[in-house]
Amino acid sequence: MAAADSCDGISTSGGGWEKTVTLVSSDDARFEVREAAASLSQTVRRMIRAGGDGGIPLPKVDARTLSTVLEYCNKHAAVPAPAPESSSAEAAAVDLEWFDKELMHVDLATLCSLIRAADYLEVAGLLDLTCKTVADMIKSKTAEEIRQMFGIQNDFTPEEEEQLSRENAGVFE
Amino acid sequence: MAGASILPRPRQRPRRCKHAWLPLDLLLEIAAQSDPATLVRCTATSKELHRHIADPAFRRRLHLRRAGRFVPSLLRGRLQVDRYDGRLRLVDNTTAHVTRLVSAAACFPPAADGETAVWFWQAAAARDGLILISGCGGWGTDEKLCVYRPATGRSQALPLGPRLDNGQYVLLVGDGEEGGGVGRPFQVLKACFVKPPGRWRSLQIHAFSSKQGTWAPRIRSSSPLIMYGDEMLQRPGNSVVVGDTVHCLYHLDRTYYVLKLHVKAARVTFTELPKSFHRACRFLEDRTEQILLATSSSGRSLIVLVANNDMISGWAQSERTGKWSKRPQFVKDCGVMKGRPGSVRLEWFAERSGIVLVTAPDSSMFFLDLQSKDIIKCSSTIASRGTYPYEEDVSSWVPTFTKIF
Repeated sequence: MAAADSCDGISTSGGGWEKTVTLVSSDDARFEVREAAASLSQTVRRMIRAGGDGGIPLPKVDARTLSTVLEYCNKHAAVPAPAPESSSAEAAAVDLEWFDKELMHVDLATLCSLIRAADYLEVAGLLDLTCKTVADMIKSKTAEEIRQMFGIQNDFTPEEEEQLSRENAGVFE
Repeated sequence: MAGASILPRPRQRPRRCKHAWLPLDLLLEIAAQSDPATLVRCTATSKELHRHIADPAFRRRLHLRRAGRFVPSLLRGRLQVDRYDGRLRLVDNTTAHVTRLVSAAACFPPAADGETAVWFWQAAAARDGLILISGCGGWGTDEKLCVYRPATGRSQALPLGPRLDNGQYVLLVGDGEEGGGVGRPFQVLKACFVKPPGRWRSLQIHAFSSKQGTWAPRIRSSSPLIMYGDEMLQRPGNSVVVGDTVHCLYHLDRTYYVLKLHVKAARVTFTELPKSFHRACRFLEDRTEQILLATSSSGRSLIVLVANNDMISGWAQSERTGKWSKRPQFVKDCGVMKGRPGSVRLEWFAERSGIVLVTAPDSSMFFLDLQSKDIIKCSSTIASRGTYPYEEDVSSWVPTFTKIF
């Protein structure tokens, strides 16, 4: 690991010594987090390598969203990797699945903030999870309902809309 | 699916859909995670989304994503040949609605003298939106083959294959589009056990490639497990593709193996199933219909399902070590399905949607969703025997959009 000036300190967690880093949200809230968890974000990992003083600034993520992202990172970085056949691996997978499900019990606006944050921070697993959750939410919604959910402007002419629904009859019912 | 890797996307200035709350790239990311019907509705929201979803770059993103998990809505129904009008038909899974697809005359045109080319025909394999149809003109005549794509209505007749009896077919579908034929690259494998008089038995696999347009011998195996046996593949229709390897169940001398056809490397290998599996299969009434090969939801590892009375159990192969073991998470109590004494039967596995068709002792049918482990009643009362699952290739939705704008 390259020298990381932004690693603020050393803490005891789970009986071992672990490096921590400080992340600073757009509204200046400071979060001290284990480096292993923060490194699930490729953006933060690059910043740790680059080094710096006084914490890592994340100007595109607010404190509320960042705390949820870090909750995800802490949980997912904490899971050890036992042999896939063992019963502890199954229990860990079930626990993680349950945790992810609970984390996604939020409204659409929060999910959109999380998607933007996961994309900016490059947390692959969280981006996948949030997009999948929203994809499930738009299931069985009409095109107009999808537009309203995401604030998309309809720029089709009535003739084009008519042609679209003719082409894909059955899907729009 | 937490922790799954996302596709690498070029890091560039985010493009924004007019007034949308999310950048275009992220809207496309969400669309790529949805099911085919929702994806079509997404294309109808704005011209920009429409244009990008119709773009081949998005199709590639979609295709790769599908490889990572089951998409139940890709299963469109079951294929059957109608015994009255002789047309191939698709029976919808939930509504039992019947769609008449194609007639034998369209797939196998009559000879110049007007004589009907085939009298008997059936679906011999189906995968990723393509269907292999085999037809026969009568006793002693050559078997004719044709690949049909319902999404476009196009079909391609195959030249006569190797004259080997009891061929078992596997249809493999490649990526992307191909000019001519059915529009998709494909291969048809014909696997035959051959035993000339006074010589040992061998397994011969011939392949037809849509690219070359010809049949060619591909694999010949004289493994001791083939030489000394007289068994065929356990269930010819139950082939499962993982990567570029085709897997089938093989049974010899009271032992079950997974037979792997390494298509590119042109070789055959066997993996013996574990002792716990054999103990569970010891007292099955009908092993052919109570054992089924399937894949895990990642599509990268194999599972074997065993139905015994009202319980379905699963054995899985570890992706990392290749070791087989019984997995408690695959155990499913199907007691709700049982109306009469006897065991439930496993009819087929649809590999893109992760759906297993299960028949109860009273002949009622159910779908077991391997992802959610839910059991869904199948509304149809049409017999399931000899049917194949028809799964749509999700990218086949997309090209139809481009002609609009």
